[in-house]
Amino acid sequence: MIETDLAFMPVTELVRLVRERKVSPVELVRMYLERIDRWDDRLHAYVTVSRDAALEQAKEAEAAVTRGDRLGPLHGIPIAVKDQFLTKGIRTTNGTRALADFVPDDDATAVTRLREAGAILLGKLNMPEGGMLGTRDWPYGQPRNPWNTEHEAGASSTGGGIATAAALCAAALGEDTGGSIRNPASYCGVVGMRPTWGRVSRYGLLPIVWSMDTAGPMTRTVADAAVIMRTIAGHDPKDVFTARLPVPDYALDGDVRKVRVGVIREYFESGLLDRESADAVRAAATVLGRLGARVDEVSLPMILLAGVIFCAIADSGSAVQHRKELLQEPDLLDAGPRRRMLAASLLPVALYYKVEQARNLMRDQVRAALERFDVLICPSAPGPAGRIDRAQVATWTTEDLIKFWQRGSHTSPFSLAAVPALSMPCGYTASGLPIGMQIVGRPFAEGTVLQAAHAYETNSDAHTKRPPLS
Amino acid sequence: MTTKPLTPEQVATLAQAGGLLVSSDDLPEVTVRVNAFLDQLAALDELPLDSVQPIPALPHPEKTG
Repeated sequence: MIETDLAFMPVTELVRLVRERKVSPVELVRMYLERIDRWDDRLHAYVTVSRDAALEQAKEAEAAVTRGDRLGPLHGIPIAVKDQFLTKGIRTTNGTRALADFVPDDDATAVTRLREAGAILLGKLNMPEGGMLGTRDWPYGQPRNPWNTEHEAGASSTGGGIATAAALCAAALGEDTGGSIRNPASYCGVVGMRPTWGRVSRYGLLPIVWSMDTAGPMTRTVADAAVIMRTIAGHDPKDVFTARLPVPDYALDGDVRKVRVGVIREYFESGLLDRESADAVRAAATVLGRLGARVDEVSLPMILLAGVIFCAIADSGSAVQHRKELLQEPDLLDAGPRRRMLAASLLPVALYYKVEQARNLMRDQVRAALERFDVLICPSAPGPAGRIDRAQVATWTTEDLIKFWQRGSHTSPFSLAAVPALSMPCGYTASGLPIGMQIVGRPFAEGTVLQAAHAYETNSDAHTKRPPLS
Repeated sequence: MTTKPLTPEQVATLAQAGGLLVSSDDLPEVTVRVNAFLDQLAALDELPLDSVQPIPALPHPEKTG
């Protein structure tokens, strides 16, 4: 087998090969470490590569296979984790210089569950400072999109998008507050799922917004996302806001014949969406229709206000999380996040109250639409990844901000509404950059979202393309 | 924006009142950001929010597990 093919193989296949002793966990870890050595100086997906610990775990995993031990669902699979999750004995920077030497003595619950399932922790993944988009001088290296390294890779689970797309890991664990899994998934051409808030524990996740932070998978196939969801989901006594609902097995059969699909009209009428993205998402809706889903348009009148509503909440939340640095060592923070937090700190409290009311109205509109439809679909972003040099302006103007908020309006409505949403590749621009489509579901109906995504994936080829690096 | 945009001097004074120091490098962009927020969020005045409660998170469905 060609090594590149093995590196890009879905987790579901790698699990089978490990169980059948056709490939060993040590081989897998060595292969991904070699790929990291080869590509990551350029891509900057990783903040920390836990080389020795990963090899040690791989040897133990290999011994367990040899002994015939009972194996977990991710036994021997090398997975990388966003540097926002606490990892015992492995430094956790949250993308900040302030935590450059912070080594936790505990794992986040999602990490614990991956380890218990047999996954091998390959390293920690790059992210903007404190998870805040708009970071200009990345403390741990400027991340680059593997499809075109002159372009950004999305944020804030930036390293997760890059490492998954470039096969620098088998899969990644990301975090999504307002689109932080879905945006890099879209820009890098991989599958990224934000679960319902409360489906996956936030314990050990360095917080951005307590009421919207979620942990979720970033993978090369929908079936891989389902396997990771099954592993990390479920009640956790360490997070009082996790639901005590049973976790389905997320079995996928690709049947969407009874599924009602609502295509959100406002995005296509906004004038924000580029033609190639609009065409690709509409074509994907047609595929679902051909498979027997009932596809219709739906209107969500407030949807384009979501970005500014979300940022008023998120920037304020971050300002509280980082208040000590803002007061005592502001220069430790990159100018982008620092200015976002300073501005949010100056908003009137009465306005924040109104923003929270607007969040509820948004939630009502999204959930009302989801009473009529099983899933909603829309573009994950108004266009493909932009050029890095264009994102590096020294001082943002009003126009820059409005564009930024408009982009956020494509993912944040579903964060505000606390519903599950998945981004997956649905095409490529003429210049070869991935285009992402979102599938949104009812609260705790991740299974329906995954089912629709799987049906589309098995009847399309966007997920089969590889970045030109390989 | 229905009201006059804040000046950098007013933004600096606001920050000082909140115990925050905004450097001269940061002040122009922080001013742009505060004014843009106030301008864009003015659209919320058009929404029927009077009877909407500002609840950050709703309770999950009934516990079954």
